[in-house]
Amino acid sequence: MSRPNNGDAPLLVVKNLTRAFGSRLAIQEASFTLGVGERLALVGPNGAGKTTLLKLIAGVLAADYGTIAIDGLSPALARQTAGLVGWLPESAPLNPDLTVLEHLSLSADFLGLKSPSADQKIEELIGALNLKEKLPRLCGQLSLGSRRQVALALALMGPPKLLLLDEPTSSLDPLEVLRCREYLRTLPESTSIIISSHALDEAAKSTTLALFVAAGRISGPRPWPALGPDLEASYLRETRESPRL
Amino acid sequence: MKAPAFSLKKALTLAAAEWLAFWSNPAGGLALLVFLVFSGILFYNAVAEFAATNLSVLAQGRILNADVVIFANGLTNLGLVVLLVSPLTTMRAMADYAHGGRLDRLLAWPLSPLEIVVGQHLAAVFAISLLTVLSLIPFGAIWLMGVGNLMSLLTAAIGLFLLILACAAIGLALASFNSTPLGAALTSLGVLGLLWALGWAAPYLPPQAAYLAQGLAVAPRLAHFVVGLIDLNDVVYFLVLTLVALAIGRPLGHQK
Repeated sequence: MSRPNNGDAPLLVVKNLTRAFGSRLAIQEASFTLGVGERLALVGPNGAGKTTLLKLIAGVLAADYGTIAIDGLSPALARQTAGLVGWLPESAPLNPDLTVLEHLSLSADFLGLKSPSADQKIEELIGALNLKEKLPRLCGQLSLGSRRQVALALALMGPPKLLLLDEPTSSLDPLEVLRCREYLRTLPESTSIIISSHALDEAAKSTTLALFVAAGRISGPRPWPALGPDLEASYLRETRESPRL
Repeated sequence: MKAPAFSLKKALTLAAAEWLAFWSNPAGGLALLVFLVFSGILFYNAVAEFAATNLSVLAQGRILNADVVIFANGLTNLGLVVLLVSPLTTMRAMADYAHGGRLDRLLAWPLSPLEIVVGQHLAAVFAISLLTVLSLIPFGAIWLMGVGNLMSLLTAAIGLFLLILACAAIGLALASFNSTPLGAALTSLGVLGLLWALGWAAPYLPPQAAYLAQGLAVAPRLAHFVVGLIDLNDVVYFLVLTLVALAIGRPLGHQK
């Protein structure tokens, strides 16, 4: 099964991307594209390079070799362009000395959202992610799950054209996972999403494409249905094919 | 949808958030306490020295100049307090962000490195300026009582503000190359302390080194401002220090 081609230029183009930490190659010659509105899951074992790949695309890590273009811009420029890239880092880092509401307002300000649309967007995210009771609390006093919800709200504020989510549902309780998944479904169809996840089922439910990452090498993207009904078997096959595993 | 190279609005928004966070954190209260205690002690010493010396001078039929003993000494000492306390405000910038993993969050917002540096610099400048203004109140009070010269107080305030600009920029630059807030604070303290001590060390150095030390030293520059002199060379010195430090300071310094 191949990916549908709607004729538009891809939103994201990754070519021969390589990044090493010391002598360890975290990402090796990765090349793939992501079209407008496509939703891709990065799946692979711990330490495979998923987070590094997301950080490279988010523009907070520099590549040793290769190129990334997001809507024709380098990641560093794309990152500084309001409403282009939304990123949820794995550790959901927030300023512990600012409240949840201050974080949301700050994000809206940085993205150039003006009242009343900024207020509407903040209200929408508060409702969708159940943040109302947490608004006056300092982020340093929140649980990891709550911090991840706030960080997810910040990533979704744009709303961005390309959303990068590193383990978006980790540390969330089942109800929060459902809320998160439901809200992602309500995003405009033109929103492209890359989700890094350990959970195959979750990834398959939230995305249409799978990109396997193992020992810094990638395989795919492929539509989930093309992988067959046994996702675990496909996962093992894809990740074991890497010569470095 | 091209991003502008620099938006002052974004930098000010970041500065406002940093300012809020600074005062929500115990480090803000600690900086305020340390600053007021040190500046209070030094002000008291300047007044006590004036009072004690004035008694003996009066006995000789002369009057001591309060401008020199209270204002010049007290305001120079206030400059030293600015220099010593500013690392407490800047250590929480880049180093704290990198140490706590929050640099990723900062970088995830649509901010250019320059906007981040300027925003954090402004936040530190606002914080140290507030502490300095509070410490200037006693000087204003004794001026209202008819002691001292308003012009000296105003030029000293300008000199102290320029010093704050430079100290905050140097602290940020050094914090962007340190992985922990404590390391950032100690490095800043060392470098700023050295810049201050160069003035004391100059007389004991060989001529060429002494010339260089005098040129780089902070204290002699500030000394001009506190006695009512505004020398363009001194203004340029502080502004160059600030701009060079801001150019060196970069949020991506922590990028592995």
